[in-house]
Amino acid sequence: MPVSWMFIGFLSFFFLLEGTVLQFVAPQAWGSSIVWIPQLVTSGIIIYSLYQGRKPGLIYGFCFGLIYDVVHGQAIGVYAFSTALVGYFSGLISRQLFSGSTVALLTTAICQAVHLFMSYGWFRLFNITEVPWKEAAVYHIVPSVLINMVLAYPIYRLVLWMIKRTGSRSIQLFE
Amino acid sequence: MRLFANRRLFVLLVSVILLTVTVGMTRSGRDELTWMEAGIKNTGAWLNGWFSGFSYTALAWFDDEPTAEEKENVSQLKADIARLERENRRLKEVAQYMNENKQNYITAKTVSRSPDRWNDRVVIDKGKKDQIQKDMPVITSEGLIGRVSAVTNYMADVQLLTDSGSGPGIAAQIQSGDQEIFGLIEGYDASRKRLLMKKIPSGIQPKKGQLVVTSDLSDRFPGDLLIGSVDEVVRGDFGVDRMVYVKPAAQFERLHYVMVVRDPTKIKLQKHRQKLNGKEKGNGGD
Repeated sequence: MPVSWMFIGFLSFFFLLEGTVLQFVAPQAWGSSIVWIPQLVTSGIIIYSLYQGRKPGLIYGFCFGLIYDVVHGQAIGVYAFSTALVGYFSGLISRQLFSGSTVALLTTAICQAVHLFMSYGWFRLFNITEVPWKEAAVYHIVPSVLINMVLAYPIYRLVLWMIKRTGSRSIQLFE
Repeated sequence: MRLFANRRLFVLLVSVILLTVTVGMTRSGRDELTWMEAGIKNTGAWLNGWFSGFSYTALAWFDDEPTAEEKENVSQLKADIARLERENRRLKEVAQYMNENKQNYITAKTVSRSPDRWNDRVVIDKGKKDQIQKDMPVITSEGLIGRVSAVTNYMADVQLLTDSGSGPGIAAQIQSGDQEIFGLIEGYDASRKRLLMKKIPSGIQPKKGQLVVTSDLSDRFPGDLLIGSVDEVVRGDFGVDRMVYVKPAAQFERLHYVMVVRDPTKIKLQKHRQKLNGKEKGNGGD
């Protein structure tokens, strides 16, 4: 598996956006009780893994999850585990279905939901958060999944463009 | 063995165990970060600083210019403050107040905020190099917003009051006329946007609108930092005490500049306490 430096660059850019710029556009910054958790990095990993297989998904997921844990998290391991698992899971899906924008976006939505529920579950288990699960589902997870799914479309185009450019063979299978 | 034959399942099991171990080890109450974490955190804070710079510039377009009247008021207030400060300084000199024991404020810029709100924290761009220590209170011009939860040389993590996770409570008091009512600020009700102040004796009835400030009895926080005002008084968890919904004075969104309060008396107190604890431990070991 060749390391795609361009993809790493894009993921790092998304990572920096998540904590800074997007925190000012998110609805919670303007007094809404709806919380959007931007997860552009996870979307990128999910879509990339959909086309490049489960192994890159697992590795990128683990690395960026670990960075997230250290920079933003309170306990190391939660995101490293969840993001890696979601990347792997998305790679498994790609073998079952034909690929296209609809499938990519639906996969992103499912994987995002799994990722959010899993990370919330771990945090709740370790008593790092005390948000009740109903509130978490209604105000945090569902809006986040919807907004992230919409934002996954540009990321999908970007990943496609990138894979085409590097001329990987797997893309020819799908198009 | 059959378990080892299914490699994927085995790896999954091992990683769940590893996850539990690392989370358990790194969860909370660590005084020192490893150099690797500190390095990643510093780099992250530095890079995020660039990005948040753009957002502050963009945000400045939306903020309204203060009107002429407001400006006048501000300058009037500034003049008053300058006069009062002068007066205060003179009086303190008279009382031979030690200048080195004065509280000071370390102004810092917020660099990033954790995207998930399961634990609500921001990163600021000052650290140990600027004499910030763990557990120092962080305020804005409006009131208390949180405390420093981790610190490296160049950045610090601030746990906001709105964090839903379990942290040590903050000793607070309600200013009600001649008496002071003590309690602990523990937790935040996100749906009502109120802080919870617990463990208040049931004989006392705080009134709506009374101010809630930090208590000077705490060995971490200096006293009289504004937290908010009493909004509603309810019965506590066990029925023997009261709980107060406190309306926070500060807003926790779109934070820009924050101030870390450094109180030398409290730092000395902590050092002394550590020394005492160390002695006790040493004696116990012998």
